[in-house]
Amino acid sequence: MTETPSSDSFFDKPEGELEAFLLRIARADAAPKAARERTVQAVGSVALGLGVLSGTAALGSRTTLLKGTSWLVAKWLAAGMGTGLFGVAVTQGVQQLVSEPASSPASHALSAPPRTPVRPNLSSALVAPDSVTAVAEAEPPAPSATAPATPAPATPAPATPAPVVRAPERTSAVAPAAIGPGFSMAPVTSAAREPKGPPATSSVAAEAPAPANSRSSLTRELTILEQVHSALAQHAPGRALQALDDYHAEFPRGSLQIEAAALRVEAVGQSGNHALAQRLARAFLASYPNSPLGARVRAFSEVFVGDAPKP
Amino acid sequence: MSDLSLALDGPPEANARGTLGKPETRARALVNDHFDFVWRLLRRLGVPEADADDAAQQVFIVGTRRLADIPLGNERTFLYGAALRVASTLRRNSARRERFIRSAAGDSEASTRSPHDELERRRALAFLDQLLSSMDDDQREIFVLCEIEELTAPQVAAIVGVPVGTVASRLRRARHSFGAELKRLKAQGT
Repeated sequence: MTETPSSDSFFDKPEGELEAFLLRIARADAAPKAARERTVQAVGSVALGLGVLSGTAALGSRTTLLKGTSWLVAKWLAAGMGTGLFGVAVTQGVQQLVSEPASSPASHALSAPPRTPVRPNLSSALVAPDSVTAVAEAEPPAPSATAPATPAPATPAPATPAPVVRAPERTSAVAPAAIGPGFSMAPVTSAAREPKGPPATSSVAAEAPAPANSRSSLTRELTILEQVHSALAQHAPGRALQALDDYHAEFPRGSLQIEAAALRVEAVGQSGNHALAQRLARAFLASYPNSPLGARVRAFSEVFVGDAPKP
Repeated sequence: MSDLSLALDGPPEANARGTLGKPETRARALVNDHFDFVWRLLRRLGVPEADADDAAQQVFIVGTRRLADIPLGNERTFLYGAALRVASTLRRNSARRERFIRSAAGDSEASTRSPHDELERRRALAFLDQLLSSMDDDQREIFVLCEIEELTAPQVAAIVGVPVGTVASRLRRARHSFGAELKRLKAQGT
C-alpha cells in the first residue's frame, strides 16, 4: 500500500483541485530515455530479424501477442549485434565459411547494426553462448569441453579494442555458462572481465556473415521454445518440461539457453514443485543477475516464497 | 482492430517517414513517435515501473512484427490496443497479481535523495495509481484513455473494442469511483 502523503503536500488541495492536479501530473509523465533507447534497439533487431529469418517457421507470419520466444530472440539479436559480440559469436563459423562462402540474406540484414547503445545487462545476459565460449577460450576455467569447434580463429573480433557501451557497473558479475538439462549454472567469472564488445558499428560484426546452418538451428531452437511456451500457456507443465529436455538434448550448447532456463523455472513452478522452482529461480538470478528475464523469474520466485515450506 | 480509421495519429506525413523504406526505419519511427504514450499508458494501467520497460518493448515488438498490417496513420491506435492487452495479460496472471499491485503502488515512492518536486511528483503518481487500482479493470482502461490520454469516446471505443455507449457508461462509473475513492482516502489521511 502507498503510504499517505505527508501533510504539506498536494494532498492538502481541495478535492476538485487535487483531481485535476493528479491528472495533470499523469499526462506529463514520460518514459525514461533509456527505456526508449532499449526499445528502439529491440525493434530494430526485430525488423532485421524478420529479414534474417523470414520464411522460417519460427519468425514467420504468426503474430500472437506475448509471443515470448520471438520476443526473446529479438533481445538476443539486439544484444549480440549491439555489442559486436555477434561478430565474436560467428567466428566459429568463419573457418567453415572460408571453404563455403555463403552469401546469405542474413549477412545483408546483419550488416546494418543498430546505432543506439545497447543495454548492458542485455549484452551480458543474453550473449550468445557461442560468444561466451569464444571469450572463454582464452580462459581455461570455462567449461568448453562440449565445444565442437574449439580452436578460435585469429579473427579481429576478440582483439578489437572494445569500449564499454554503457555504464560498466551494470554489467554482469558472472557470465552465462552452459546450462545442462540439470540446469547447472556454473558461473564463468572470466568473461565478466572481458570488455563488453566493440561499438555497434564495428566492421567485424558487419562483415562476419552468419553461417547458414546456425540460422536453421536457431530456427529449430525457437520452434522448440515456442512449444514450451504454448504448453505453459495451456497449463501443461509436463509437456513443457519434456520439450525443454528435448531442447537440452538437441542443443546442449544452444543459443537460447538462458531463455530455456527461465522457461524451466516457470514450467517447474507450474508443475507444482514450488520448492524446486524457487531454487531454480535463485540459481537463475545468481547466474544472470542482469538478465531482462530476471523480473519474470523473480516474480515466480516471490510468488513461491509463501509456498516453499509446503511439500 | 484492423479497420480503425480514426485519426489518432495526426497527419500521416508525420508518421509516413520511412514507411516506404526499410521496416527497420519505420519501426524506429514507431518507437520515437509513440514510446511515451505507450509507456505512460502501461504504467497507469498498473504495470510496475520495473516491468514497464519490458512491457513497452513487447508492445513495440508486436507493432514491428505487424507493421505491414498497420495502416498508415493508425499506428497509435494499434499500439494502444496492444498496450491494453499486454497490461491486461500481466494483470490477469493471478499468481502474480498480488505482487503486481504491491509493486505498482510501491515502486513510485520516491527515494529520500530526490529533489522536492520529484518527490512530490512521484508521490502524486503513486497516489493516483492507488486510486486507479480501486477501479475495475474495464473502468480503469476507459478512465486512463479518456482522462489521462484525453482521447475521445469514439477513439476509445475503437481501441477497446466496445460500443461508444459502453465507453460513456464505464467512464461515468469510473469517474464516480475515482471521486469516491479520492474522498475516502483524503478523509482517511486527514
